[in-house]
Amino acid sequence: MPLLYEIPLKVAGRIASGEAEVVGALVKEVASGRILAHVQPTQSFFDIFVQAGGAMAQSGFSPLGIIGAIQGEQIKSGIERLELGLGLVQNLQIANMALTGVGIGVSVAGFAVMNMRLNAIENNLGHLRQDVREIGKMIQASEIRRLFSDIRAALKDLDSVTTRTDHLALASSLQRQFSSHVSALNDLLTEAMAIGNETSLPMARLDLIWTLSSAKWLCEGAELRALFVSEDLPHVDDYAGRYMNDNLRCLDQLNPDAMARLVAAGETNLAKIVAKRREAAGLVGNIADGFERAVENLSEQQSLARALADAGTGGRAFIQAAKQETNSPFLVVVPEQ
Amino acid sequence: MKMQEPAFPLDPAAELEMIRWKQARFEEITQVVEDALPELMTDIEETVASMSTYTASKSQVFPDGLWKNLFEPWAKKTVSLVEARMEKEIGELTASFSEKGTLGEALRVARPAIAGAGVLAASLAAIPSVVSLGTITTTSFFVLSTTTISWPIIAVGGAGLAVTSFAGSKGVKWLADKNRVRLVNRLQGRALTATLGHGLTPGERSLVTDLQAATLRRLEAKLVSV
Repeated sequence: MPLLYEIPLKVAGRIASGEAEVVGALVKEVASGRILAHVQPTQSFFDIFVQAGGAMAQSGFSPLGIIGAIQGEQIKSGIERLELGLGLVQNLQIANMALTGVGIGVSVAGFAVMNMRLNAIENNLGHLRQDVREIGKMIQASEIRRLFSDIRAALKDLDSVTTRTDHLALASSLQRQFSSHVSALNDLLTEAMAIGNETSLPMARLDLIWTLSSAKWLCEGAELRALFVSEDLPHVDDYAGRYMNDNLRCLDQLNPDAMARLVAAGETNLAKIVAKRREAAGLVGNIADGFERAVENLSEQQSLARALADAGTGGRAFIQAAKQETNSPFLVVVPEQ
Repeated sequence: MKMQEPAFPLDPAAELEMIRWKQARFEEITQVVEDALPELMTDIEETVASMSTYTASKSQVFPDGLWKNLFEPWAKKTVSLVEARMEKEIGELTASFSEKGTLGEALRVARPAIAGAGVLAASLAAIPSVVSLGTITTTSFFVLSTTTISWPIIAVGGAGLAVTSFAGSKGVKWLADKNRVRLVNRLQGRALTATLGHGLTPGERSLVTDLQAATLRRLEAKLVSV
């Protein structure tokens, strides 16, 4: 199966006629839901994205408190002005990509960008030290620092793994490391989201949940990338499925309404209770959107792994092609029918 | 996070759609109740302001009757509003699943979503099946609001709640004596707790959680019947 740098004319025509639609990284037939093509952003797209979005897009993560629709719109309009065509940009979840770091397709960002994202997450955790302490019965602050240091070291190796002579062994080792980091972050997240015995909740808890979730999504994406490079496509399918289920459980446990009412419980005046609850509901809604986007992205990667395996295309070759492409913003995979 | 694998994995897209639908409805129910609450608060103020000093003092000692008279008609009206909106939403969701030919999958997804609705466990247990949302106004919730939510808890949790929030309103001008202010505080504090669960843990029942649980039960019944 060839890796294409343009959407085939036949598929483009079906998008234009409305027979097909772009959903995340997938081009789907409207009537049957059949996947016609997988769209993978390349290094070129990422360069454009960073250029259009400035510092916010570079970090790929924004503390919950400063998320604004305007920021997302600015990045979106910046990218739209570049006329990448085919209605793709309108469906790329640009705002979500900038705010959560959850993009489309397989994460191919280099170490510099991934590290910026990790730094932003870690710095925000530093600001939330009090809340981290409250949920830190299982993992102490020093352990969190060590965790982020380990993640950073693994990301550095992930950046170069495709070109290493020992790529299979290294990718396999990296997969296990990221898997362990996902697990540690899940434990913290479970603690942060356990609100059953609380009668009120500080707004900072929402930021903490958002921060831990962002770190978890980063590690999940990195782990799948390691599996693609290790040519273990059946396990990409398997792990993406597990993490989808995991993120669905997190989303279900989140209960934005109950959480927002708990945040408002600190107020004593009806008007203030209502205003605070609605503000909190908007923020928890952003977290829920992040989980939803994570589920969709994992589903895209699962489907991509199947398409590559069916066609006998290597995962490492695919990642390399996407990472090295600096002219075309997208790489396209058309599944064998 | 621990996951329980179902015997046959659920369709993640259907599950995602169901969870987001549920979350949007929960938020909508809370908003309807919030929007209706100022009317109840004003009723409380005006009723207490128009009472004789003797009746107000008596209601301090035995507030349940007054509470029932104020709360029941308001709750019935509010529940009707919620019911109309939820019936419409449930109808649209069911039609959408039916159109896509995925009703069976929707029911398979809805059942664990209902069974695992964590913080709604108490409300779901109290509402085993629902023919219409309105039935809860005359059954479990009124009993709950006058028995489980006790006055002493409200008196502590609701201290300073109401009168400060309504200071300057017309009704407050009539609340000259401390007894009346205290009675308004207690009633309005109970209203916040009984409706929004203010001051309770998420697992404890309130009108909002009962309406949310009833909506899930109604959805389940509708999916089974289609």
